[in-house]
Amino acid sequence: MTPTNQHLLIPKIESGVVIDHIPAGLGPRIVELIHAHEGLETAMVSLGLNYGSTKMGAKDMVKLHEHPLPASVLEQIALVATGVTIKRVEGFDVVERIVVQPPREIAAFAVCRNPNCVTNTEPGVTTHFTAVDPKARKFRCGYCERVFRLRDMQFVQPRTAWGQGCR
Amino acid sequence: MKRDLISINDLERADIERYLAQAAAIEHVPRMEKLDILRGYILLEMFFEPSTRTKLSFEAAMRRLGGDVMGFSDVSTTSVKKGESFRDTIRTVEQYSDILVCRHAKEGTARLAAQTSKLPVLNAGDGTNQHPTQTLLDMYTIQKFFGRVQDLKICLAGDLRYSRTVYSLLKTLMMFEGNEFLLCSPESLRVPAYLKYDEDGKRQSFVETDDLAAAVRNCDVLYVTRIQKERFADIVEYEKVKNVFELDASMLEGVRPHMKVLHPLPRVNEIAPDVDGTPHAGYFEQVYNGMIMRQAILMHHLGVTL
Repeated sequence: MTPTNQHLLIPKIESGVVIDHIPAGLGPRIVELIHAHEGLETAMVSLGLNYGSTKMGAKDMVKLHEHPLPASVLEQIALVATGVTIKRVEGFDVVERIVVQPPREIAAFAVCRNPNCVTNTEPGVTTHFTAVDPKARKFRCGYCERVFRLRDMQFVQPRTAWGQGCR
Repeated sequence: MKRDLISINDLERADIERYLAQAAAIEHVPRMEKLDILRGYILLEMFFEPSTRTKLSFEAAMRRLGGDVMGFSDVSTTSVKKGESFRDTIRTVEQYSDILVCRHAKEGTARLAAQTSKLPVLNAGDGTNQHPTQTLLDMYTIQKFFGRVQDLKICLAGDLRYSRTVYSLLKTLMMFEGNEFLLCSPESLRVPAYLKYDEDGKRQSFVETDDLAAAVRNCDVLYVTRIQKERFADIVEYEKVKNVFELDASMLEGVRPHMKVLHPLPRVNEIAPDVDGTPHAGYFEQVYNGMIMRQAILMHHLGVTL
């Protein structure tokens, strides 16, 4: 199937967002992130898996119909798949296009994988990671200070804000 | 705004230099004249896991400045045993005191304590993560022996992979120009790769070796750490390396005359007792310097000046 024809497998959208160049296999995770956002639980979404791509070999594609993509979902997408292209569509035309960059920090969205970190033992403590080397995609836990590669990190839904214990 | 001391990663070179200057200043105040400096202040020590020298060192530092000390060193006698959360413990004990010192087996507890409390919090060790007052006293010891903390050849020996002391000291010494590092450890206990880069991502010049005898003859500072049995999955591996890094007095023949041996203590086999009587042994003076540095730290974080 040609690259042009395969895009017909999921319908062109009149308005909404096309999320393209998703590494193959991560499309369902991005659909989950969209549907987990308040107000988007029942949003219409199209999902294409394992499309051929000259650059990537195989890729996934997601189309969110008739809704903008909230900034918080965009941040979450940046965590699970950087390099993804986000295209905002109005009247069947692409009116804005961005390439998702790695985040500088990750607040309340990741679990620290150090079992001895206080965030895993004290109830209600919110995690916070900062990029120590954005190119290498490594992040340091704000509590135990251990450094993790982004691909090794485990993500959850946001709970509360960083510094909850602050006065 | 309160000042906490949680991690060496929070400090810059100017901060380190300020602590060193403050420690030198307080050391030169006659003993009897120090007794009013922190009068009326209470230090609360929360030791959720055992400690000998750090706890006593903070107590001695506070008392010699005229302050009072209270706290606990056995969790079984506290409400933690009844299921109280860590943060509730902090919010309770802070009502009694002016500054908190916290040691805990879990990494990140000191940071959480600092976020939770309105008082300054000093980290006295959070699991395998940080022990910043140890690093500052190590730096002060080097400063006192050599009159500088730069342009030195430093050999770190022993467990370089799992030692929080080594991580922090290495990172701090890398802030000062001209320092060269000899990293002496068994292959399995080498420094993790990411520690070999400075703040700007520039790779530092390291020489890695497992030949302690040669390394000793080629450095100004020999900083020895204990090889910890519990870090080895395979006990046979531990038995193989545990005595390889034992320093004795005979190995000190032919070393640089001013060379000093430091150790965060406690030692087990890694420094033989016959080293104690040599002019190179610096580790007990290091303990004394710890008390002086902690006096400087207490004063700084309580906002008290000479």
